[in-house]
Amino acid sequence: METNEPIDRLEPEERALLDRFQQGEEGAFEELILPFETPIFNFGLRMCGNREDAQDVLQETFINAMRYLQGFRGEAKLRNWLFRIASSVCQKKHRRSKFAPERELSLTQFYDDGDGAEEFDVPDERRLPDAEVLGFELSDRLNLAVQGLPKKYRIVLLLRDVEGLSAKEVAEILAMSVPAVKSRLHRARLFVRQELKPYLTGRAAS
Amino acid sequence: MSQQCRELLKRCSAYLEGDLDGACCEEMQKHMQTCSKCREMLAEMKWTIELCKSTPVAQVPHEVHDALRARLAAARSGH
Repeated sequence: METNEPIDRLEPEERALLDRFQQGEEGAFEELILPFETPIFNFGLRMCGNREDAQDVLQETFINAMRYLQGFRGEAKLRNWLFRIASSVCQKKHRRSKFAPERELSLTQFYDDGDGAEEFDVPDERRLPDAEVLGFELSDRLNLAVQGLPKKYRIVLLLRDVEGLSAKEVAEILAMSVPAVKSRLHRARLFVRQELKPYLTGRAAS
Repeated sequence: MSQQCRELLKRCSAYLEGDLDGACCEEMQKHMQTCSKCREMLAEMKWTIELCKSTPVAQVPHEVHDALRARLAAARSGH
């Protein structure tokens, strides 16, 4: 059962740094926030698809964090709080993006996927390339597939499957319900799988 | 694609995340015993999720890091 009582979700070290910052020690800000520079930069890179925009996302996220950290009480994990800011920055930024026009992904578009394609004798994960040891070629293909997702699906996939947040955390960050997150996530995964399927077929046949 | 295959496609994320009840899981498992396409589809979904989890992390370039520090310093000093 959930309660509405405020809960401190910060790590002890983060709490100490936040207290120092809120008591006027400006230097504590960078110590507190800079560990998240790499995750936020990567999130921006995957959301936007290019380094310039990722740099903007990083800077805007941290500038906003600096602005609002004084009022932050630790009611969310610091990482999730930063991802919420970064998500908002990305969503605003992408209104001007030429990438992946906004559209709905319906389940029916995946129904006929694979019809007529060659079946494999061993149709289980053993025939699939080891996702953990693949090099940059597949990584590039994955990035392209992710870039092809409409942003409202892309952001859910990145937060849940790439960043490893729980569906509940993603729902809190994006101000959505958990079922809505799961529905978007499912469609996003189907889309990425479909985009990578030609590559998988080629790998399996070789 | 049969109705059962469509149902499996609709529910495969929920299945993989353990969100389905026992009866639903059994139904899906029973179907997959005889449907190689659905076994393949489920394996590919698992693989796709694993691939996302193992996406390489890019290092922040020095110039991006330096620009960030400069921007934060400027913001602190009110510029």
